[in-house]
Formats: sequence, structure tokens, C-alpha cells
Amino acid sequence: MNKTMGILMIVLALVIAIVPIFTDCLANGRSLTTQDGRSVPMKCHWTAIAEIGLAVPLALVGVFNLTSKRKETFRTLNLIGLALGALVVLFPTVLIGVCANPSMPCNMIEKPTLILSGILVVGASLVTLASSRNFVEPVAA
Amino acid sequence: MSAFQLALKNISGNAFRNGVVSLCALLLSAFALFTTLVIRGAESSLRLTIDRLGADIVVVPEGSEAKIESALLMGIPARFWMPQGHLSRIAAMPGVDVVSPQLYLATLTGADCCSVSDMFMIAYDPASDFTIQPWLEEELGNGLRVGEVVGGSYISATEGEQNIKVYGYLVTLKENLEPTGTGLDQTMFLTFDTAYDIAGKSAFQAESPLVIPPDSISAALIKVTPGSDPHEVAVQIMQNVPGVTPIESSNLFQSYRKQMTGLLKSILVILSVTWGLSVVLIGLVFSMAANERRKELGVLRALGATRRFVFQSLLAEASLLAFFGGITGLAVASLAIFLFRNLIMVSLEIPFLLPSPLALSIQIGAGLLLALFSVNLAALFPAFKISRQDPAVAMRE
Amino acid sequence: MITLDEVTKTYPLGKGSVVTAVNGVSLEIDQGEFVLIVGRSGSGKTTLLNLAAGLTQPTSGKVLIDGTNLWGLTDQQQSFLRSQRIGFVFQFPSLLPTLTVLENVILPTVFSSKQEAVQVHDRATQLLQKVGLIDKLAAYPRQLSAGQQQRVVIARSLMNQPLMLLADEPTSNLDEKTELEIMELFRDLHAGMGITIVMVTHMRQLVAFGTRAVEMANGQVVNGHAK
Repeated sequence: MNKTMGILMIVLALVIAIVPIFTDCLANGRSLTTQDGRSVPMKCHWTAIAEIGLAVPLALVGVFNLTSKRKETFRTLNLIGLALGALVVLFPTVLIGVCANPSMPCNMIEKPTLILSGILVVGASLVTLASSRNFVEPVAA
Repeated sequence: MSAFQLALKNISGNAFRNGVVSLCALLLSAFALFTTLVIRGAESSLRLTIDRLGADIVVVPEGSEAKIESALLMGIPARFWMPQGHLSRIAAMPGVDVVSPQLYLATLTGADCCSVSDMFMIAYDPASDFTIQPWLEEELGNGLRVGEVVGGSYISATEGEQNIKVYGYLVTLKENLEPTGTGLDQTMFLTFDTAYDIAGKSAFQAESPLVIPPDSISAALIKVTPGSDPHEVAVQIMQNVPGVTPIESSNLFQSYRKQMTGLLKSILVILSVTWGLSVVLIGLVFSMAANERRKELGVLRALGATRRFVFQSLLAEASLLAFFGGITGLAVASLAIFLFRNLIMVSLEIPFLLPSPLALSIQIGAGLLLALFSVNLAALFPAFKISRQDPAVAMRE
Repeated sequence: MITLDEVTKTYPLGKGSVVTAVNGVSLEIDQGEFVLIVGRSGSGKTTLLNLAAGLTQPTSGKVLIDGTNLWGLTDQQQSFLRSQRIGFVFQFPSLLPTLTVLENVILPTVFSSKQEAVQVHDRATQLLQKVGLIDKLAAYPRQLSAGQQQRVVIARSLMNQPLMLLADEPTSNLDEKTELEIMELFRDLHAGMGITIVMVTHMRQLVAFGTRAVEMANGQVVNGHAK
């Protein structure tokens, strides 16, 4: 179970890192023009960048879920996973946000992908926390 | 320890095999739920839109049927015109109770003058309107004044707290309508007076002027007198008013309906094939599992388990796997549909409305039953076979 | 206690031919005996034990337990009788890997008459104490050695207070020292609880632990007398 959740987390980390960058408005040719004529990305782009910052530690949590052998380690890892998953959801909704218009690509693809991935990360962490309660540490040879 | 607790413990062994069964149940139930929600969502959306229109017949210029459907369903702005004079001819026909004209307009694409682009605008005549006006009177207590608009559920103010700029003109967003899952959610509704005011001022305020051809309307919405047959009225209009097509509300969105029927058929085929393959795969996995565990099951028989106990215990394990897989799949599918509803609408080009919590619960229940039924069906034969096996033979090398 | 009356067991080999594992064997095992059935591999001793336990149906002949014809009973009655009267110790590791040691020992109570959970727990703990594994209650089988697993199986076999223990080569997977420990455990159980034990083995030297030895060869008893 721990290994399966570990693999799931690595996959989700990849999704979280990659999908937003290709589905924000900047990647689809839309940006904001400031009063002095400069072209700047909209906040959905910064959300995508921030999510990369979450994806990296999440991938590590996934890798360590695969390789760990100690109950305490699983607990710690997956508490971190819980927090990361929550942040993945909070960045595009509350903390940074995406564009307002519902027909923009960030609203149609980037935000729902991140919310779904974040919820799955939280779910995977909870499952691993629950199943690691009965984890049997390998007996020393 | 009860038989159920034993089954629960047994599924924690061989994670890979049990994972495969659960995954099949997950995918099957998720796919079934997703497709039924999409199809039903499209249906309810269509029905709601037709109800919202409130019209028995919609009269449009000949050849514009597809355009009005796209406009109402997908919010793709439509532009067509017919002479205003048709109104009086239609009003005079027997069976016609109320006829209300509408103007179909659109904001400019990518222009500086406008804070939103490509937005469909419907102008209505408050004097004769029977869809928006009554609702407005209920919500706001009075109708819209000049410069005021109401929007579909997705329309929001972009200039300050309450304003939207169209053709260089600031309109005030008074209210939002309930969602319909169609293009009406991205449509702005305004009175004729406001529309003409915008048009007049756009000549010097906007990048390009809003042009409303004089003495023209886009469509006429008709309510027939109680007891009259809308079809007969439609036929009369067809025969007596040149250059128009009367669309009965029951025939509205026919092309979309056909599209959805086609989609439904394809989905049913894919679902059936998926189901069949899943059942076969699960059956194979269970056969393998039962064979691998035959010694263990032989031991259970030796300890006093009856054939029935072994059979029921295997089916209990199957049910638990189906339940866990199914509930996960259903939860993820529901979440995905809710989150990606806009993308679904745009990519499948169908309207879509989320179901009520009750309807969703029923469909989730049905999905779970499907998962339970399928996995148990697949496990039936292997479970029966192994439960009948001679314990001594089962425990042999 | 157990009466085998002219029992024969044949297995089909396909293409019309059969193999006769047990051929017209009659055997009586009385209460309180510790019988060892010895013979080479393929002599039919395991099949004989399975026939006595009702784990396989004889092709012909009768199997009686305390006078009751085993194969005149329904599957439910037979299973119940097995759970109440007979304890099993198998050659192969027979603990359920997904259950703890304690849960494995309690397992037979799932199939027998209803007992209070507390009583069940107490008895299981007592039995594990008896076999020297009281500190392994929460362990899983994979955390135990082969000898320890076999002790748990013995504890499990005694859970429903059976009248007899049937053991099929219980020590063949164990090293000499552990084998001796297990055999001494059986002897102590026999002496202390008066339980009837029927054990199958190919190790003639173990005959010393029992009250009687029965030798089998080619599906027949060749020497069935008390030693």
C-alpha cells in the first residue's frame, strides 16, 4: 500500500509541476498589459510557478514512501504530504488564484487539475498514514 | 472474529492482485458515473434552457436555426436580422397570446473599448417580454433602467464593483441569473432602450460602432394561447410570414439532441465493452488468487469451515474490493466532473448542468451496485469451484 | 474413537487409469492413544490420515468417528464435527499470513459454537503460554521461525479442546533440535491432557514418542501392532 501511494504521489507531483505551466494563460498567448505598455503574466502563471515549488518536495515524499522501512518515517512523511496537498489546493484558490473569467484556460484546465491533484495527494497521505499504523518493520537478519 | 472481519484481513494480503481487482472496480464505476453524469447533465441543461426561454415557438430568419442554437447553448454570439414588421403579422394570428421581440448582439473581439470580448448580448422588450421581465420584477422589484443589465451566472463586473464596459459604455450589472449550464450563463441581458443607447453612443465612444439595423429584430418569442396547438400556429407562421422559420420549443436544439443520442450510443458501446473486459480480467485474477490460496482455503476447511463459508468468504472479499475500488472511483469521478465541467462543455460542445445532490447520490449508489455486481459475477465461478474442492486435494503440493 | 473399515482411496490419472493410494485398510484408534503411522514417501500414510479426518472421501469403505459414519453426514455436520473434535497440524506452514499469531490461534472458534470473546482470548493466551510463545501475540507469521510457526499451529489445533490431534509430518521442515522440541511438546500434551494423537511421519526414530506404531507400504498396513 505504501509503495502504491508512493508511486501515486510521484505521478501527481509530475502532474502538478508540468500541467499548470502548459495550461496557464501565458502559455496560451494571453498576458496583461500594464499602463506603461509592458506585457506581464497574469497570476495564473505565478500559481503555476509556485506549484513547481510544491511538486519537488512532494516527489521526494513519494520516493521516500517507496524506500522507507520505519513506521515513524512513514508518519512524518505523510504528515508532510498532507500539508503539501493542502497547499496545492490553496495556491490556485485562495493564496494566489487564477484569472476570473471562467472561459480562460487557467480556469478550465490549470485550476481544476491542481485542485483534483491536491485532493488526491491528501487522500494518498491519509491512506498511507492509516495503513502504516499496522506496518510491520522487517525483522533484522 | 467474524467471517466479515476475516475477509477484511484477507484482502490486505497480496496487494497487487487485490489492487488490480479494486482498480478495475474503480475504473468501471468512475467511467459509468462520468458518462451518465455527462449525458444527464446535458439533458437537464437543455430542458432548463427551454423552460427558461418560456416560449412555445421561437421565430428566426430562415437559415438561422443552427446559429440560434449555438448562441443559446454555447454562448457563441449570433447575428441575424428580420424585419420588425413581422411582429404585427404574427401577433394577429389565431392562437398567438404574446409575441416578444429580441435583438442578438455581441461585444467586440479583443478591442480596447470593451472589458470583455466575444460576449453574447440579448436585448429584450420589457413591454412584451415574458421570460426575463417577470423574474426581474420578482428579484429586483422592478425592471431594468437604461444602462442596467443582468448577466448569466458567469458574468461579473470588470470595471469597479458593478460595471462592465461595452462599446465604450459603462453598464451596471444588477443581478446574475441562476446557472443553466449553457451559453446563457455567459450572456448579458439588456433592454431595447439600453441597446439603442449603447449603439447611439458607440459611434464616438467605441473602436467600432454597434450597428443595429433599423426596423429589425433578431428573433420573436411566442407564447400560444392556452389550449392552442403550438404546431398549428407554427405551420400558419411558416405559410404566412415569408423568410422566417418558426421553431417549436420541443424541436429546439434538435441537432444537439441528435449529437447527444449519437454520443450516448457510442458511450454505451464503450461502457459495455469495458464492462465485459473488466469482468473477464477480474475473473482471471480471482481464479489465479483462488488457486494460489487453495492450501489456505483447504486449511480453513480442515479447521471446520463449511463449503458455504469458504464460498461466502471469497465473495465477501470480492465485495469489499469492489466497494473500496468503487467508492474511490465514484468519489474521484464526481470530483473530476465538478471541477472540469467547463472543459467538458467546451470540448464536447454540449451544454452541461451538475445534478442535484439527491440525483448524484442515486447515481453514485447505482455505480456502486454496478461495481459490486460485476466483481461478484466475476468471482462467482472461481469461488464456487474452490469451495467444492476436496480439502485434501487442495492442500496437496 | 476412529474406525477405518476397509477404506480404499483411488485417484484418476486420466485416460482411464487410476492410482490406488490406500487399499482396503482397516484400522482402529482408541481414545488416549498416541499412534505414529510410518512409511516411505508414497506409501499412502498421508491419504490415510486425510481419510480419517474426513478431508477426502473414500472410494469405498467407511470412516467412523465415535461410531458416527462421517460420510453419512452433511457438509455442515461434518465441518462442525471436525471443528469440535479434531485438531490439525500440517506439514506445510498453515498459518494465515494476514492474521497475527493470536488471531491465527483464535481462528477455529469462528467455525465452532459461539463462545464469549473474553473466554476465547483467555484460552488462546493460555495455549500460547503453554507452547512458549506468549511474547509473540501480536507478531505476524512471517516474523516467526519455522519451529515457532509450528508451535502456533499446535496451539491453534488445541483451541476448540478437540478429542484428537491429527498431525501430518509436523517436523519434516524443521532442524533436528527444533524437531525434538516439537515432539516433546506433543508427548507432554498427550501425557498431560490425555488427548489422542495420530501422527504421520517418515522418520522411524520418532516412533519412540508414541504408544503405538503402524507401518504402511503401497497403500496397505503392513504392521499395525502395538510396539
